Amino acid sequence: MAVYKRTYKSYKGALTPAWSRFSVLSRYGLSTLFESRPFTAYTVLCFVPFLIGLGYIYFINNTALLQTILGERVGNGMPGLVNNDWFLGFLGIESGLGFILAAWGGPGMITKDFANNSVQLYLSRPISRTEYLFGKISVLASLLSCITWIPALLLFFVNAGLRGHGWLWSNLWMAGSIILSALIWIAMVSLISMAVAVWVKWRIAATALMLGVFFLLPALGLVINVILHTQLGALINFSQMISMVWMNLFRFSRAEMPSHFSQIPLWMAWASLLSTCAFCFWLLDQKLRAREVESK
Amino acid sequence: MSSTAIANPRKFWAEAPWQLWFTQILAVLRIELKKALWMRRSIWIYLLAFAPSVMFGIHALTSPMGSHCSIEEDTRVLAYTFQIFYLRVGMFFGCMGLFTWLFRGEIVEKSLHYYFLAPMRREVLVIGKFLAGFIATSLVFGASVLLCFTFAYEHFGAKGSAYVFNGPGLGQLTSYLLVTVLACLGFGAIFLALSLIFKNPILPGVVVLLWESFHSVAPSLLQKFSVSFYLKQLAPVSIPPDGLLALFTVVAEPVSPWLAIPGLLCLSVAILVFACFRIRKTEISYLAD
Amino acid sequence: MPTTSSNIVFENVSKFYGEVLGVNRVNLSLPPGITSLVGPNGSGKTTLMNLVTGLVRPTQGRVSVLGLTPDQPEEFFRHVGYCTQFDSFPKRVTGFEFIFQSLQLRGLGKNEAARLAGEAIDRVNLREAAHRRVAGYSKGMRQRIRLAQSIAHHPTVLVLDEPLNGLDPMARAESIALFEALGKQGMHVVISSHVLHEVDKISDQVVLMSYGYVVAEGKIHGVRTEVKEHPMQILVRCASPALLASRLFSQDHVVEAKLNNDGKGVLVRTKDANMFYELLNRIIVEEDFAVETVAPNDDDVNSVYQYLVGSGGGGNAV
Repeated sequence: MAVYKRTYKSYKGALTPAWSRFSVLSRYGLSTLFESRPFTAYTVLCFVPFLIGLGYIYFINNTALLQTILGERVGNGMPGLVNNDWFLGFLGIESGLGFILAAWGGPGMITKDFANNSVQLYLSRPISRTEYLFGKISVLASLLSCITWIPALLLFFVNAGLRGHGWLWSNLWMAGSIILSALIWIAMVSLISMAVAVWVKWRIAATALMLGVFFLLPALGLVINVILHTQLGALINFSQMISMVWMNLFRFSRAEMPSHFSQIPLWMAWASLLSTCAFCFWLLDQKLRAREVESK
Repeated sequence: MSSTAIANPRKFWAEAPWQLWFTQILAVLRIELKKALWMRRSIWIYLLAFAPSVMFGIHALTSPMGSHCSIEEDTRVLAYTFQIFYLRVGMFFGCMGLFTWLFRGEIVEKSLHYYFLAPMRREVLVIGKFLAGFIATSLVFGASVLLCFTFAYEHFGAKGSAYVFNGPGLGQLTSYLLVTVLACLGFGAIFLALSLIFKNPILPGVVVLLWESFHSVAPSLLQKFSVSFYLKQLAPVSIPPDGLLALFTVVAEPVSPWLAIPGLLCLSVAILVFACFRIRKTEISYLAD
Repeated sequence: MPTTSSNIVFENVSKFYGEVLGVNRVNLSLPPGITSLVGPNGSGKTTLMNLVTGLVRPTQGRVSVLGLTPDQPEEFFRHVGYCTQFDSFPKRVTGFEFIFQSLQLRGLGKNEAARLAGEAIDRVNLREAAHRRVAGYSKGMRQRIRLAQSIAHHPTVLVLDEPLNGLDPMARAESIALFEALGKQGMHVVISSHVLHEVDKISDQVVLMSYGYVVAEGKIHGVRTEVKEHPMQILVRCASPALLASRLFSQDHVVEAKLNNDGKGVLVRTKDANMFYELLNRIIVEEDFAVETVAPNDDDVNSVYQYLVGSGGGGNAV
């Protein structure tokens, strides 16, 4: 049949900037996560420590008010309490809550795409694997940021505001520690979440694997230490490795750290975390593809 | 169970097609054992189970003739590995993964309806799948425990052989293997049932993990609803209660092994019966979860 | 609704998925032969088939097949075969293993299961690919192996959910011939399909569904004549279509008479087909008219679908 009516015209209108297109995935990823009411409720719950911390900082810096409320039991000012130890503890609590958030919501973002055969749909659009991954990870990263370093920084500056400029300038390094520590943790958890998701392609198995990485591996590490009379089993205990790095960033001395931390050099802790991230990247590169060839 | 079975159980059992059920269970066993043991996705359970065996093997290689250790110490290490790693973590996660996959995996792969369209009672399907999971986990973890035991004593030479064959070693091995089998039975029943109730059985699985870990603080009647409660008492070598470890190892009100084994069997059978009732209501709905 | 033990019977069956309606108040009795389930996407065809085979339970009502219910699976599934729409298989099985395992689950011995599996594979012409992994099959091959699995045990009731999906014209023709042969042997064959003109040729009865309701059911011609708000279309091919048209215009029951594009026929729309045929006979005799063919133009599933269900049914009336 001859084509004589060339009425078809391709789209020539305005396009959004190419660099921002991954954000479509992020927007829809976030909205899908928050369609689940239990998930939303749990996310709200993650802000409770922040509110408690806020109240704590306020009363610590207003002990007179606290004395009025509680009576004479409160001592006069406790300036040292909101310190690196305090912020480390706050980050620890929030990271524990955030881990459950990541295990709950993270794997599903990718496994559902595999289950619905939509990975090839995404990757057949002008969006690369990197952009796809970035779009998915940014959902987790933004959620975890909202419950870790952002509230921690807010608490830091609230405390600084109540304590004055002297405290702020002498502790400004802590702001950097907060951000860096949280980002390291967020990167680890997000990458592991995405990597297990593309590996097993099933949300339930991915969640179980994430739990296994953070609970089972420490037990295995303990067994390695006991059987082989070594301490190197701690290298697969990512919670301990992250804690070591955090304590170092928050300027804890070796003497202040738990005794079993001192058995492992700091550079090994960094190497363990970095090599885990590298392994996750490798796994993502291998498995995040639009096609699957079945061998005969 | 059908209404006939409940109304007239004697007649039901007398007229039941046992031969057919046996044939069907064997067919399910063959299919599921192949999936559980020989597929590439089963590698993780081998890694999980045999990791301690590899450690013991390295230990045996680096301590020829028991040069840097003693039999007492290695016995303690083996007990520690078994009670803390195998019972608490290894077999728990192994059973969680394998038994959850039996039905949830079929739903993910959208192949459960092939079983439901066969002229087979769904209860028979549950029993067949459970048996397959039980045999697979018992074989894998039993083999790894056996390997750990072998590596733990082999490198002591004649002293090790004497300990095993002329001393308490063989009895301990039997107990370890018995506890392994019972753990696979108990945890397997729990996770099979959970996978039929919940779309995402991992979160309830975490609740079960917490219960199994901390049940010793509960009243003694409630403790009997824990698999670990019975298994702890059957462990051949006790490990000294040391801080938090006491929570996992000490039994405040122990029961005799002659009660612990039937107790665990009753708990497992009760859970399986519940699973059989549950599967009758299961509908095929392959929404991506 | 009489319950007979030779029919597939739905007694006031409803199925709700939460708040979403699957099917509502379905009362049907499907006799042996080929029954087409026709309806747009989401009309409840697959739900109806899943209800027949027990994959879902009715929220209300009762389904029985040859007097049996899915609560008696050992007897029920001996007689029922279901080729679902799910294009999924157990992992890493070959075509032969797929059918062989399902026959073993039915309690058949190894030799008998192998024989029946081979027979089913031959019926769908997949002998060469039988020992290859199903995951490497084309869409059409996967469809055929699923069909083979559903007929391997020689069921008396065969439920087929869009069995022609993905098949090339040759394979479609072979499948349709197979369904026709099975229907003629007295089997119940329930087919849902969007290839309306093909199922039209072989169907004994049709069930039209829309939005979870049965809109019409019965033999196609019977359903068509019941659709009185849409006048019957009859195509008359003759030498003098204009003359014929002029004779027809004066009749009350003739709504429209349109000359065919090729100028060799008249498409008549009439409210009363019998009166039209009487009139046509008279005209032929009186005017010595040469008529080539007289055929109903919309006495088919597609037209009935268009009238009762609406546009988007797929396929064009001839």
